[in-house]
Amino acid sequence: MKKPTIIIYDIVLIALLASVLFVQEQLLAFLPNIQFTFLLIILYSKKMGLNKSALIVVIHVLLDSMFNSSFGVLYTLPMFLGYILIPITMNTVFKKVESHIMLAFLSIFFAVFYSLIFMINFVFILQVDSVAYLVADSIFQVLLASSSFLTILILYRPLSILFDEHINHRNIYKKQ
Amino acid sequence: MSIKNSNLLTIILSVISIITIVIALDVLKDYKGATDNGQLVIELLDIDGDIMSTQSFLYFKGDTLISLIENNFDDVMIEDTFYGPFLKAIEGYVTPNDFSTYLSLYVNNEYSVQGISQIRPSNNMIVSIRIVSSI
Repeated sequence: MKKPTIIIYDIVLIALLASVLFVQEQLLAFLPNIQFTFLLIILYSKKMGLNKSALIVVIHVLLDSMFNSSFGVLYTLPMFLGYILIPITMNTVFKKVESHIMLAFLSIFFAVFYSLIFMINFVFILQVDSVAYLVADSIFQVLLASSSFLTILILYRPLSILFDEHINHRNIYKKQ
Repeated sequence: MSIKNSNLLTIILSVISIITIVIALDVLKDYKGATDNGQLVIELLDIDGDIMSTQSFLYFKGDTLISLIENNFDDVMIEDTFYGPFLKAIEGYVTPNDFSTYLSLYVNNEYSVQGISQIRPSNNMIVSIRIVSSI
């Protein structure tokens, strides 16, 4: 039997998953740095591979920047670099990491990297003192790292199972 | 690692991270008050950088920047959020809903990376509240 084309399925899936990523972040925007973004990007990276998850990150960053009127070098570029590190590393150096506890600890690294990369623009463009920035941002870094850590710890395993059973196209093929 | 140990570790780490989040949110709610008596200047600048209003006054130990602004300027509106308080309106200016312009804080002519509740009044400090464009 000829293998069915997956192009349309993938396009729909990428759009759907990007929507979930964007909407949850907006719904939780009233809470400082408490979100499911890192959980979802790590999940997508693990389940969808580098290209598709990177595309979701691109869509998310563009949507977020346009929605928040923050499109530009100051926010869009560091946001993209901060998020794109996840699919890249998850599909290369951390490819074999499957434990939700290890992934939770990795999310702390991603969260700190994400926060620090914003500092570069603030220091060079807005001439903000780097130490003052770090001190002021530290509490937000803690919140981002803690919320990412917690969400991955609790939700990664069930979402991973859900993804494999109902969403991931590889499983659909297996059933055919 | 066995499933039982893994679940136990997950629970312990979850509790630690929840406690961390609660403490961090509580820190954001903390208003920093002056630790001494002194004098400071608060100025309001329009979108072109022209001074709309300047006030120089004495402050006393325990005063917060928010209380000083509320007590010395008109039409002050401060919105309390989980990020901390936001200064939304002052002296007739109201931040539009689309945030095309907003109020930005500078301390001693340097962009402040701290929010209005986190800036501790200190002697001879100059606080500039600037209306800036996000576009």
